[in-house]
Amino acid sequence: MEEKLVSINDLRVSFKTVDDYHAAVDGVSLDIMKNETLAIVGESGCGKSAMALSFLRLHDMSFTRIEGEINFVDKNLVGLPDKDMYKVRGGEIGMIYQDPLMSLNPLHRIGQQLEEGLTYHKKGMSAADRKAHAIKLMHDVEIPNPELTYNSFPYELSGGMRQRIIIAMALSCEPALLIADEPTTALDVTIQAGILDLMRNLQTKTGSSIMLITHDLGVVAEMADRVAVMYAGQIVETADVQTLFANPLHPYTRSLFASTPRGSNIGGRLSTIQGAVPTLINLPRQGCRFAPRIPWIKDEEHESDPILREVEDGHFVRCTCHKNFHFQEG
Amino acid sequence: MWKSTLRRFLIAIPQLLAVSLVVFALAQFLPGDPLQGLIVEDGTLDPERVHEMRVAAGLYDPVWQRYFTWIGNMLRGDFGRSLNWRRPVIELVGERLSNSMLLSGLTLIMVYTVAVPLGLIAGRYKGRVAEKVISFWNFIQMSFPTIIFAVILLWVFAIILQWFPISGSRNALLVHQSWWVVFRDRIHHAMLPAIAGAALAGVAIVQFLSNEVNDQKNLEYTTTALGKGVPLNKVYTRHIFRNSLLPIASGLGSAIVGIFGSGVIIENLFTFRGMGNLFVTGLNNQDWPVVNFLVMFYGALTIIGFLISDIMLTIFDPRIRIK
Repeated sequence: MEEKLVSINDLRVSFKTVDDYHAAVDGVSLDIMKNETLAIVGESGCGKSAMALSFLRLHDMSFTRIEGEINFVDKNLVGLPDKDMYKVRGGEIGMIYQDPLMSLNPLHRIGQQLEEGLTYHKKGMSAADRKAHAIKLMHDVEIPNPELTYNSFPYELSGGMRQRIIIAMALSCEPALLIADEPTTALDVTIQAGILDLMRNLQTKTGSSIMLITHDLGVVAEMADRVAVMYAGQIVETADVQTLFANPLHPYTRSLFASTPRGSNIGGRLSTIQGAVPTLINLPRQGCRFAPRIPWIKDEEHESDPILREVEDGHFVRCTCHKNFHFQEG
Repeated sequence: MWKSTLRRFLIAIPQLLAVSLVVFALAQFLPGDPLQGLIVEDGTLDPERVHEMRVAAGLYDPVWQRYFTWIGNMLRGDFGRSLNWRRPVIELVGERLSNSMLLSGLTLIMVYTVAVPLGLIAGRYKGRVAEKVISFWNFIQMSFPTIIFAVILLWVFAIILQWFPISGSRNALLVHQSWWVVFRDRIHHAMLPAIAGAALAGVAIVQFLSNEVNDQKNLEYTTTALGKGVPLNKVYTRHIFRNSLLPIASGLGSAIVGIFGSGVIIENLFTFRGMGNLFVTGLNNQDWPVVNFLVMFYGALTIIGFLISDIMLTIFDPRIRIK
């Protein structure tokens, strides 16, 4: 019944450090269905953004290597010639960025920035059409006074308004896929809710798919249909959102939940995850990558070469260590 | 925008007064007075007569009175007479001003047409061959004293190749010629000093612009532009270069000041008859009326230059406009 929009196959994104290339995204395979919101969750440094940017090849390619397949509609985005990539960028895939102030050119008017994508993707449009379209886009993202904002500069708008402009920009050419890289991280909590509502409403209206990168489980609960939990460049668990929230299995997923304040543990102590995500060079490439952060779990519990296994319908978990996992005493 | 411009204009008045105070105070500390020069030269003047002349010239008046006389005279357009040439200072300056302006203009054109593209290229291709060549050349120019560079220019282009005259600012024999021939001759004379001046002023611009472009291209808004489907070349021309050029464009005022000021060195190296040359000659001859005027002139120029910069900045950078 569901149609695939994106099919990622063994994606590997490596960055050149001093000596060699090191994979920040290390063999990810994922599907995104039409009209679905897939959330990618994980701590900072686990490869989420590296993966998101590789869709449109927005890395500095002088020290980045992308391997594997990102099959989008009818083409493989990995190795797509630049000329065709220009059409995908902003045209078929729209991108929403983390920092709404830094992501707008400070010296261009809002209208100009909204129209820029149109000049490349909708060549037949006249200047008047583009302006009308820009104003309509601002209406869609609920900017209070579009005609006035059209001539404003980014610094004249609030953070929430700027993020709405970024969303309008991403939607300007009706892309089939929207990649939102931590869209609410830089915003106040009250503004966050508004932005999330807006994205959900726009998705219902346009029928596009969203790949939502976040580390905020609250945002996931609010937005996602399906969740992929990422750790150290790998997917460690995927499931639809109800299943994952009801029955998180992988130790990393459970640790993330345990360290998120929730109604159920009011007054209790919030648990933390030992250590930090290893840096790119020090990433363990063999065995369970999460093992160093749960040292009280015996080595025998881990697999030597952990793979994603389907434990129930549509629920995949990597490594066997989840079976007897328990939080540390005391 | 008019408000901020007007405000900067009003601030310039006390600044100019402050400069005049400093110039006047410095002149007070210098040994001797205008008449001392006459005594030394003649040796026959009667000390009584000199005393009378000093009284007549107001040299025994209180300091503040002399200051206001000086300022008052300047405001009326009387800038005093040169002791060395025995002519009004304003005449001497008038002869030199057009030469200096021509030289500065030529230098400025060279700086902006050569240094700016080099800086942009070096910034865009950071780490690549083009950038390494430009950086290397820039490094050499930076470490070379202007004096040596000027001598090399003279040696190669004036003595060996004989493409340019070795000194002076015009050919005095061209009297009854059309303005075009005269103009071309003056450009011809200004060429070598302009190259030396441009090398001096261009180094900083190349370095600054190269860093600026390199910074700008790593900012998030360039990713946004790329993500919208803007081709890489257009991302550079429309976004990165434009934003990097902002400080350069608004720095025009101070660049003019810098180039005019560097004339003090350049003009003397090439014996080019401009204001800088006049300044050094004035200093050597202890010609204080000339020196005072020129210090005042450079001071005023600096203030006006920065005023121009500020105005340019309000034009180019919307964030600076005062509502």
